[in-house]
Amino acid sequence: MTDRFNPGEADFKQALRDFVNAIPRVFVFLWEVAPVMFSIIFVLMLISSFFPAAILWTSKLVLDGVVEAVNTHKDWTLLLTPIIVLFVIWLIQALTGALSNIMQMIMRQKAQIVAQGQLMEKAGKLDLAFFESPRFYDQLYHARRRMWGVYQSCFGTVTFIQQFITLGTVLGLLSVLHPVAVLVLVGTSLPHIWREARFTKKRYKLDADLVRADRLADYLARLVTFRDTAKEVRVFSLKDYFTNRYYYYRNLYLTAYRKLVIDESYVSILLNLLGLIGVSGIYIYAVMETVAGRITIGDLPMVVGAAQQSRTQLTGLISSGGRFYENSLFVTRFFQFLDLDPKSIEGSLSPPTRAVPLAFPSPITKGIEFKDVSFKYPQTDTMVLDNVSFTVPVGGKIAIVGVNGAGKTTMIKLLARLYDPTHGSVSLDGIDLREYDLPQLRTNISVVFQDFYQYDISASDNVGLGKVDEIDNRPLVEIAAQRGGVHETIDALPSKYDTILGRTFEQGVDLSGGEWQNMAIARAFMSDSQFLILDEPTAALDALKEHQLYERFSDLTEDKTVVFISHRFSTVRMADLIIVINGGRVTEIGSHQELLANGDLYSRMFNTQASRYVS
Amino acid sequence: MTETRDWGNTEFRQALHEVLPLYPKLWKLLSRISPFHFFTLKGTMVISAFFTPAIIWGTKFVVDGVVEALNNDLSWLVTLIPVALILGLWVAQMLVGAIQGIVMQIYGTLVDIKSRGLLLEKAASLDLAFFESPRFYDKLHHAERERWALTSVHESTLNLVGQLITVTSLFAILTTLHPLAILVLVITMIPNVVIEVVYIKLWYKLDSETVREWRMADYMTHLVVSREAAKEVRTYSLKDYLVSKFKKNVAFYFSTFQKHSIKETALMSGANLLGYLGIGVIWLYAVYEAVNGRISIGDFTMITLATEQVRSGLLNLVSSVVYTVADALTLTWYFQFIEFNPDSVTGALDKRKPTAKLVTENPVASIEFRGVSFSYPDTDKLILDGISFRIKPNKKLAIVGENGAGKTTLIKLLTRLYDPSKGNILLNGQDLRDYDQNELRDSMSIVFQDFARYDVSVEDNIGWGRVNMMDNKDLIRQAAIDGGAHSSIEALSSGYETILGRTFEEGVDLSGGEWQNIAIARAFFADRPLLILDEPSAALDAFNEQALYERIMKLGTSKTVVFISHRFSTVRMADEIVVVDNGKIVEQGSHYELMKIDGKYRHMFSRQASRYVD
Repeated sequence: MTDRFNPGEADFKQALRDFVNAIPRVFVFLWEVAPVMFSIIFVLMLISSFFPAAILWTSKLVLDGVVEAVNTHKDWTLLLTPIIVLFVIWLIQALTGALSNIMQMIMRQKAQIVAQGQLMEKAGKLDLAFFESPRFYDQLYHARRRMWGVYQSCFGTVTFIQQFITLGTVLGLLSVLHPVAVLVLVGTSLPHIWREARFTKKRYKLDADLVRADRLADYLARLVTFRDTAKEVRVFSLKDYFTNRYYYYRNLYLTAYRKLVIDESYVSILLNLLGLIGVSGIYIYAVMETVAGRITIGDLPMVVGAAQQSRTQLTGLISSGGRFYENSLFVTRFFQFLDLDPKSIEGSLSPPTRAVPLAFPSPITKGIEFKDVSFKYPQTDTMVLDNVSFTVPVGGKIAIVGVNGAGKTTMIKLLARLYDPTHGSVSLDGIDLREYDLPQLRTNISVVFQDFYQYDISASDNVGLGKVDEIDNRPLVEIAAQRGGVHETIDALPSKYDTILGRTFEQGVDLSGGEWQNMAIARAFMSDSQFLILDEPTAALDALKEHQLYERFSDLTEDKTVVFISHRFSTVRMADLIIVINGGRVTEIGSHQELLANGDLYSRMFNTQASRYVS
Repeated sequence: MTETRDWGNTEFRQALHEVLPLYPKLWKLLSRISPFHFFTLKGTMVISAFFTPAIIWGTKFVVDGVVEALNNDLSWLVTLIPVALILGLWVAQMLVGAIQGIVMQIYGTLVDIKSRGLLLEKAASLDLAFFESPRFYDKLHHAERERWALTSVHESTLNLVGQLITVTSLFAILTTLHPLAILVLVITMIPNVVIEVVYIKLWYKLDSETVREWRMADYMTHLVVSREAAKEVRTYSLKDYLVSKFKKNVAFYFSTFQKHSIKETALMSGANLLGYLGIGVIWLYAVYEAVNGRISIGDFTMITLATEQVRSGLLNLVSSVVYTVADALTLTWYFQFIEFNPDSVTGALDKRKPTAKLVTENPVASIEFRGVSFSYPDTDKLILDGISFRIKPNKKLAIVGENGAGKTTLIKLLTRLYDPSKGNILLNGQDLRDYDQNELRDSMSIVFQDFARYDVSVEDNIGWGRVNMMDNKDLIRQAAIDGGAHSSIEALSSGYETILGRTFEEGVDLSGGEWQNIAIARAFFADRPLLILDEPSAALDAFNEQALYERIMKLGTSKTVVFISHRFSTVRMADEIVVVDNGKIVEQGSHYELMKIDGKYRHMFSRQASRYVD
């Protein structure tokens, strides 16, 4: 699975196989997008594959007619029939062409929208584990990047069939001259297959070898142009270094690429010469045959046209064969993502244990219990949590304390059921969390993450997203904003609640870190969830704002069970129960006073900070 | 949106006016990137435009020769010259095509590399003010997004010229039949052109009206698929809402698009009927002339071949004009940015000639803010209002104040990311603006509150603090130890060579605190006389924080340190504390001095301390 996304030479065959396997899938996809339109386009494309031969042949009839009329002084009006036929063919060609064009355009738009929608649906269904694993997340990145090519390569397959039919019919016309002519033409074009195979493999290898250099170059370029890094790039005088590295990595690619292009062109020119010798032979032979009277004058342009067109079609077919690799990237990566079995991702949530999941209890009676919970992140060996047991009583205010990397945030992820424990269980009112209805569980547990998200949409929607069903309920949004302490900030904005925030859209207004944090807290207050989880809620707040939060804290959370993480012991003291974790284990549990009396890690941490306040 | 042409809000006619002046710039830029490739590409494109008419013209002689040979029982060899001519043309066409192919591929890559490089150089030359103003920063974003059009506009323009040459030569062939033939062709094509132009305007309008919807739709997709929003999308069950918003945003575009395009096809089909009638007339006339012996069979063949080509050529010409204009319009963004005058950004730094020099011995002897006021570009609010204070050499200075008091801004001025709106900042008695920018930056290192997280190896992450020393692994290790990052680095799978972040597949992500330690290590590695830290311990645990400040204090007399903190446990360790409130300095002194007066500092300190003291 992994190596498929990290191409090497050995995978070239795999890529080809993937693509061939994807063809039926392509047809199903297009069929799903618009069955009628797809069928019509398909038929139209098939019909139009006969036009080149038909036009060549009718033109021959016209020319023969003219020659005959000249020689025998017959009435030229006899020629009206082939001319009208030709005219009708043109017209049909133009009509089918226009029709198929327009349908393709519409279908492309539709396919893109559908593809994007499917991608979103799929991504939305995947568990957090997918997003936090670089290996899996890469698949989404690729699928998204290739999304726009899906339609293109889907229809590329259909075009391939069309080209094939055209080639057959045109070669049929050529056989009028001599069956051997067909052999000559095909024979002189075949070496292109060898060239294509050889150089496609080389291109593949080049891309695989240099993909890293290319991504690095891209990354360095972003560092220079991104706002987030602008300050450091200036202060540490990094711009020349980054720019030079950018050129260095890009030139690595250029050098290799240039050599490949030139090498291929030499081979290509030689092979094309060979092909032209074949066509030239056919041309001269056709002229000789015409002069000898064995074929008509009208046959001459037809045969020459047929020879030319067959050559173009044939080399075209061969090089589209060479595009298989690229197509396979387009199509297979997209479909592979859509086909991804969410449960195959290590770290995904376990499937529901009962057919009808339990309703989330309201109100909760016993609280949440961690029982011998161990956890390690997917694809890692370190136990982040190691046999953790504790109980969160209903209505309790619980603080989780520990040094950096002790496993605090992981505990919150398990509590909010973004992951399931590796061993042990997290239970609510005595029943495993896995048995409850997940959507209900989500509405009952609100979380403000340390790296909460800053939505570049209106202030009102930023808060309202906490409960999308009520997103347009302005009074409710305002109440949540007030409770989150962000109402005054919003009120001071140019369009108040309708102000677009962030920097994605023009007229967007950016907020400070502390203001964004309050926004995230307000979002958590949108739903009347029974649990509120806060990860470092005061990190970005100054001493006074922090103090204000303490003062409001008990009012705000009266009816809620609250779990929070903080490094600030001034904040920690709001809790009535403190859980200290160290190295993935719970080492102390108790009230502030109890833990201080213990004289353990907690009291040492507290005193480290507190001693500085006591003169 | 990748697939829609981003027209902005201009009218099509106006678009044309904007596009034409771009050509000299495009020409200059592209020829500068590689004159050889540039002119070869032009040459081959022009030459190849002649092949189709020439081959059609040669065919006439072949056919005439064949007819003559047939009628007079001559050998086929009488056609040798025209046949050889055509074969020669084929070979030449193939060769020119091959050269063009090589040049196009290599040149395309070259243009890609260089055009982005130019963009980088430009971006690097801009002051921070540019990046922090959405209005200006958007320009960069657009330029980057529309850069691809450089190659495509160039190629489609050349293609246009080629088509023009081909069509004109084919016209010449047609006049041998009758001068009016051209007129018939052109007149019957008028409806095609009219419809095309009308619809271009319609598409143009539709695209510009729906830019916002598309961007919104894209943003919705981004939220669902981005890692950063993944946690909240799940805990708040946002997926269905976001998907439906996406669909709502694209629905209008799609239905209008469908309506317009069906109508356009119907109209075009009618126009095509007329167009082919025109060709039919010409063919009939050609037959008539041939049968009456006024033109030869060869002429007849030539003319029929030419009419087919000329029609498709003309139609192509019209639509390629449209698409070229559309693509070229997006280039405006690129050139606007490349030619952007860095000093036109409101808030750009004063670019006067450096007159002062930093001495190597004790380069930071004194720093003084003298009546400094500052408001951010395009805003009226005074963030700093007449600030004066001194930073004593080799002392530790803390800046405290509420959120939004102006602390970070103060640091941005000190590091000369902005210049004061009023007043001056003096380094060793000389205005900061009098020093060479690079020299100045080499005298200070800083940890920003929103420090960068580089998705490269740990070594590079630290080494980028001073790139010319980044190969010195011992120094990097020492800086990591000083920054408190060493033990967490040692625990990583490949130690100092571990790739961090999530851009690259094997990347390992760190916790917020660990990243902060790396950023601090970077500043230590830079090892400059002035060290500035903006909330360096926000994400650190109590021990880690304590250790950091102990090391800072140990830097003792060798460095001047300025830091911002909300934690008074650390603030009190400073030799001198400056309290900023509403852009003004309200108090200044040591912890003990400030605690003696009943002011802001004591208030804030006691508020926090009360929670530690029972």
